Amino acid sequence: MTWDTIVGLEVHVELATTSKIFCGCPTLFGRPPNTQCCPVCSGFPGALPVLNQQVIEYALRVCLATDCTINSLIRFDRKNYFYPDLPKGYQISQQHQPIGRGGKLVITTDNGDKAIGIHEIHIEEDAGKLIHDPQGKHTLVDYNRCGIPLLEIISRPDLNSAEEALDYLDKLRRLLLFIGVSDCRMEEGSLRADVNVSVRPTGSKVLGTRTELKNMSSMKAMALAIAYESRRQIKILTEGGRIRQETRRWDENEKRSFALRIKENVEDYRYFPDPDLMAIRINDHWIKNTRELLPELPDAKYQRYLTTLDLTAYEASILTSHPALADLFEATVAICGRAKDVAGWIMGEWLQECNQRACRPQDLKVTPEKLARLVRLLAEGDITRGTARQVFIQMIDNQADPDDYVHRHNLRMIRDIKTIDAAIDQAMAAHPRSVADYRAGKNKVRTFLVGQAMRVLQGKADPALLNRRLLEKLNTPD
Amino acid sequence: MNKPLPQPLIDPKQISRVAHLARLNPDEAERVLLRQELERILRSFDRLEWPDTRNTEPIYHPHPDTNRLRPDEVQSPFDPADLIHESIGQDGFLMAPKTME
Ligand SMILES: [Zn+2]
Repeated sequence: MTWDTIVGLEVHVELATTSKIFCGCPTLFGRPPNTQCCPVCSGFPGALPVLNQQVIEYALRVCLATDCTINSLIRFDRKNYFYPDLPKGYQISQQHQPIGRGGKLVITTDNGDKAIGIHEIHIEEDAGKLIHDPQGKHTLVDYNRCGIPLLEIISRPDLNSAEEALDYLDKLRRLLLFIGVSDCRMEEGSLRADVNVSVRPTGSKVLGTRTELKNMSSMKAMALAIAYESRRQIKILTEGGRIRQETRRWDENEKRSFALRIKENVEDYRYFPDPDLMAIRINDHWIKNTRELLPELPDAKYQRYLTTLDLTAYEASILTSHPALADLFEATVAICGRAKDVAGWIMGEWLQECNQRACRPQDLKVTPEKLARLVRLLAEGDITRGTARQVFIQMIDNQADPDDYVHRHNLRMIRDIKTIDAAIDQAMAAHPRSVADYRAGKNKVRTFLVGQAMRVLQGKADPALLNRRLLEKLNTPD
Repeated sequence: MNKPLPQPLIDPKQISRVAHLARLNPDEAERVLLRQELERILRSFDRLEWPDTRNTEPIYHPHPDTNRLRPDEVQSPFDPADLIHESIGQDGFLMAPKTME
């Protein structure tokens, strides 16, 4: 018997507001515990919430970008449960009138594009963080995260593999980044995915009992967890057992999941409308304004890069993985054209430098104007790639101007045949054994001699020309 | 017109369930008390159901106001340090009863 895996994702994304959803506390990450709290977000009796307008704006953007139907009247409900991460004893969420329903997100599969349904998008507040010390007598609580605005984006169970779930999460992450509503950092918890997994015999139309997986802190962990859970369920069913509906925690070290608790039923949360908050009316005017402010979405960008800029799928995919890269790319191309060369530089040297400096793409302080001039110098053969790298480092570290730097340090590419010949002669004279080795059939020595001749000219020689002349000289016995 | 007052029935299982959701562990005497109190509360709600509301729009709030929003600005008029009494704090954290999932 073959089995199908059915996956649905519940993605929580922290919205990038400066203040919390119902109070004026700041939302900075990584601050000392309990330093971003007030009576509202730590649940003091009598404290009253007031909704942050930006939360609705951001939620509207997400609904529009995912083709959801937007509710014209939305309300907030209390989801009641007792756990120390929730100081009020309830979480303010949306159960009855969420902001959006019935959208979609298109993913790429081996069989082409596939639309994944979005069941619902609702607004809620984040809970605090708990630290469980196995030795200690207490659980330590930090309420800084309490009241950070969240969107919960619930997909339909339309995904059929770990790969599809990964692509869905990646597409969603790109979308959220490009519309500017979240920084989507899984490692900092601003993007979290809970995964519902079930299996059923191929061809069956009935959904199997599902389990919910939590605590995956990276895309890779999520893929592993889904594959593990699917195998576990198939094994149980094959052996004649039954799947228990439960929540399971992914253990990154052991690469397996553990049952947490039998899930509480929806009615156990005893949802009811929050009497402290008024309804929000979202009229067409508001929706229209928000729609007009939406930037080009990453899918459209990707297509445009392929068709009008002639980039490869790989190039277009990398450049649309983060708005900082796409913005830099487009601003640079707007100045110097040469989309291929600019793409090559950003994907090569730019990202490599970010990697080495462990910084984000937008943290290198090089303007598109300067990058455009560097790319032009390289593309027009004025400098070698090696020189361009050297200039680029100076641009990052000392805000060097590329033309000026090349001029002052006399870095223009040397194309003069006499100069190049002289350098080759000097290198060959200094290394007569290598020359002899080459002529005796050791072809590899050539690279060494190229390097030596290049060194004579401080790496500025036209590499193609130098190569050609060296080869001619080596093949012509004295 | 008026609906008859139904006899609220709370069985011990329901008491246990509600107690569990509230993370309470009442003893037998407390259970009896809880049952009496909950039944009184339910009777009050039944009273609310006496009027015929078939043609009345439900209201969520006594005031019809909507769109009470504030701008996205940081305003912290409180010193968070004042919120935690030293008897329940440790290195800036709050100490809660040990919970392990
Ligand atoms: Zn607060």
